Amino acid sequence: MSPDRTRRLSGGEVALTLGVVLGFGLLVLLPLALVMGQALLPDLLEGHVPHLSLAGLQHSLANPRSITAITHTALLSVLAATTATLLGFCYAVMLTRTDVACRWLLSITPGLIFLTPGYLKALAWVLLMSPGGYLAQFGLLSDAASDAFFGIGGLVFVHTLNLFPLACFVVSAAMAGLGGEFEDAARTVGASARGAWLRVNLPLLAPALALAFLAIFAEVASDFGMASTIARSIDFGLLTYSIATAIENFPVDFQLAGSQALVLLSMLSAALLLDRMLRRQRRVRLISGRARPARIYRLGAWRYPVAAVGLLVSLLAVWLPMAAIIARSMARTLGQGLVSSNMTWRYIDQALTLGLPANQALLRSLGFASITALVCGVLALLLAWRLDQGGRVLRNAVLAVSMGAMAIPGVVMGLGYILMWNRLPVFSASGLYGTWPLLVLGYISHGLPYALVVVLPAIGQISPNLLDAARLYGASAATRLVRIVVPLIALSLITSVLLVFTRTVFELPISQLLQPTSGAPAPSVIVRYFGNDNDGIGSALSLLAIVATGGSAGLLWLAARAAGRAVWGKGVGDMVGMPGGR
Amino acid sequence: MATWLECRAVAKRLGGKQVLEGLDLAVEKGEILSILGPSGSGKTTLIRLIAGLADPDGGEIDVAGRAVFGPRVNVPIERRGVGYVFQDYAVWPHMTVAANVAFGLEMAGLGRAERDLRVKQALASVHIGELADRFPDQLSGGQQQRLALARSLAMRPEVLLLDEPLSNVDAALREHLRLEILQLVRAHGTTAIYITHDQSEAMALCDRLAVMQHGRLLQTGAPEELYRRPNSQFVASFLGSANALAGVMEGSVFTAGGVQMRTNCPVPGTFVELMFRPEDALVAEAYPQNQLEGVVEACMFIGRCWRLTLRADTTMFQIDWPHRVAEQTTLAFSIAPDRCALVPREAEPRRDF
Repeated sequence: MSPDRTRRLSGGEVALTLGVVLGFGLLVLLPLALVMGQALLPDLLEGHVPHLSLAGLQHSLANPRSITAITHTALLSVLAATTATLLGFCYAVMLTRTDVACRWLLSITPGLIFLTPGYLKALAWVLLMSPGGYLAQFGLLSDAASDAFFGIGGLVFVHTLNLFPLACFVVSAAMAGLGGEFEDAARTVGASARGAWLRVNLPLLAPALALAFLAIFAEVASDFGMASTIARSIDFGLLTYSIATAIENFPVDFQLAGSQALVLLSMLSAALLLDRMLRRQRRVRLISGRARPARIYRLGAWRYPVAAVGLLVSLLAVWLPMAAIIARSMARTLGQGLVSSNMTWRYIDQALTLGLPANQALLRSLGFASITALVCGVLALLLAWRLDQGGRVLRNAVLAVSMGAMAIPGVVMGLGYILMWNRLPVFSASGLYGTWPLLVLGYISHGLPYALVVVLPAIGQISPNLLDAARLYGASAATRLVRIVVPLIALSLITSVLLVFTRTVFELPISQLLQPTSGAPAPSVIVRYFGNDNDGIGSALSLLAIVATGGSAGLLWLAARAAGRAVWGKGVGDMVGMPGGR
Repeated sequence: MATWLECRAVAKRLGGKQVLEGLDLAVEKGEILSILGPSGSGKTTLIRLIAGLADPDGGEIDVAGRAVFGPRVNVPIERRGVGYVFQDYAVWPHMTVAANVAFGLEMAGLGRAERDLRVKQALASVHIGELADRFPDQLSGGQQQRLALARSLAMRPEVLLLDEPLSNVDAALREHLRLEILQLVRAHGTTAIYITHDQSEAMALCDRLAVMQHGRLLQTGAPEELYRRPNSQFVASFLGSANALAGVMEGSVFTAGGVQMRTNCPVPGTFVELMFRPEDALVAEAYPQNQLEGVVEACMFIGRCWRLTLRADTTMFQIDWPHRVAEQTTLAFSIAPDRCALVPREAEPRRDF
């Protein structure tokens, strides 16, 4: 038991805490409230006295396009969540319970998939699967297969490859917690390996599988990348894209957008609620984290065939799409194929030349992302530090809201920002709408929860005694923060900044909806290039964005870790994990 | 009595380290063998190999007169007839208490009625019959351990392996459960191996005791034999407090400096250490020819007696004494010849520069 650390807050601390809550409310809660208000109080932003009415909601949802979008979203989410959970489960079992060959290559795949944005892979798959695309050129693709891809089958396929790592992470963690003894105990009382899996391991892993399913369901339902690329090109209406078109097309229909957003949020809330209920189950908690690692199955002659299947998944999910983007960025046209006469540096050159639109968009995005990441890092640090000092209630409340905010689709957040800064009196008068600072503000509100989720646990691990000791020596709050907290959580802080940076460079829906009039950021420009059959320059821009972001983030992280090692003699992050935080 | 469980030259490497080195072990039918050793000595690895939870690198294992592991045999875990009680119970959290016990019986193909009867008997034997419908998370640690034991015993295994089953139970309950396990296993006539690193538990719970270190069995025998006649300094000190005095044997007399001691114990060689336990110290007059002497440096009350720390030249002794003795007093005491155990000297005599 930790000692009771509650004490009376000073006036300044109360003000700071209030400020923190207010800022958080303005950034996240108000836009969200406006979206819901728009759906349920149609007159809210019309200057009349608002009255509750379901008529508008009913009208908007009775629209055939809404009905299609809702059913498509539900169907696609359930299908893709099922296949991705299954694939993730098999992948996790292969990685954690067998002596499969090529383990290293297989084990980095889920992380790589997670780091590359989904819509870029979707665009790459279009290059691969379209009738004149790369796979057809190699004779690997029949027309029938190509047709099947451009339908719900293709969407399920790409979503599965993109999201199975989520299930893989969840199931791997659950299996590590489960350990091998439950299974061993079943074997020692006479169960076969199959029996032990069916009757003991699978029932015990069921909650984890359900959690993975729900998380993937929510990801697919709130995805904007595939919805605005593959799905749009085949006119497969989905809620997120439908919300965006309701705002972007003329006449703008906020009522429709708000209603559809409400439906989407309800679907996500249902998933979140089920998730909470599952986590509360007492029996899940009996599985301890100190379990003996489970035994590894010897695959014998099957080591290589199984590895081949795993590598195929890896190839389809990461390497093939990347190869397609690289190939397309260096080719004059898609149709002429991979021949030297079709090679050109033109697109890459355009993306690299200062002053040209593609390069401007890239630099803009890198700049926006840098500002966003730094602001999020500082805010997350202050917020987490404040929360750690404050009461448990406030801490849990903010953590819960952050987790909730992570589940809010970017397109809904974007809609909320439009309602707030374009239509809500006082805010609309600020003139911020349509400018890049508002876009950055949108990025910040979307990135802050991620930064907080990394920084908050790290700060929580610092032993209070370390800070009390500094206080005894007369260090002020600011000194304690800068001299004790920051050095101890440096690696987490840098990780959070880099996480927000990479997410922001590729953030699509907010970029699309809050596009500044001064010029669009890279994600919306990339999607537009592909939409206008300029996929060469689109690919070149994607490639450079990936190289610039991944390269700079990777180098910074390695440099930070090396610097930490040089100063401490070991990783900075390691310091916090030690008992007492020494 | 017949050998019921036998390991011959069993070897195992784990993570580049030789955990077991050509280990031989035989357990008689109905016997309870305790294996005692510090953590990392390979005791858990040994019983995991017997159960089939891991495969040895070499050697042979027989259970109930049947080869379960050897150059050409590797019987799957579920067909070895071996019961296993895990350190942290491993009772299945998604099954009720009754279902936990019934699971194995169902796997064995027993009918419903037979199963119910055996479940009832097993739960009654560990005194948790009234908890049959509860889930494990509604049980205390001690009850979970009883359930784990019932689950194994209900299968009537040929050999029962217990892996430190009491290490997660609080001290007050441990003594009680220890007795209960002993009675139960005896009542079932089950052959059992009991792994522990607690010497009092090991000695209390077995017919025979084996002490293990660095993947080897150092000594096997009745608990009192190991306690009184250890064959190494490690065994002597692992089973309880022990004093050691390095010296040489001159005929049948132990000599160290000016001290001479007589002993009835077997002599392992010329360079030896004489070992005795604190509680074996008697007044000097008891055995005048077997006297030692030292200056009292500390005197601590430990309940049933006083424990004195004595210095004699460079050697320190600890002895139990019936009354307090002032510090810096010179005290002589004696040791009975049959309490002077001899073990080979492990290192060359140390020289102080």
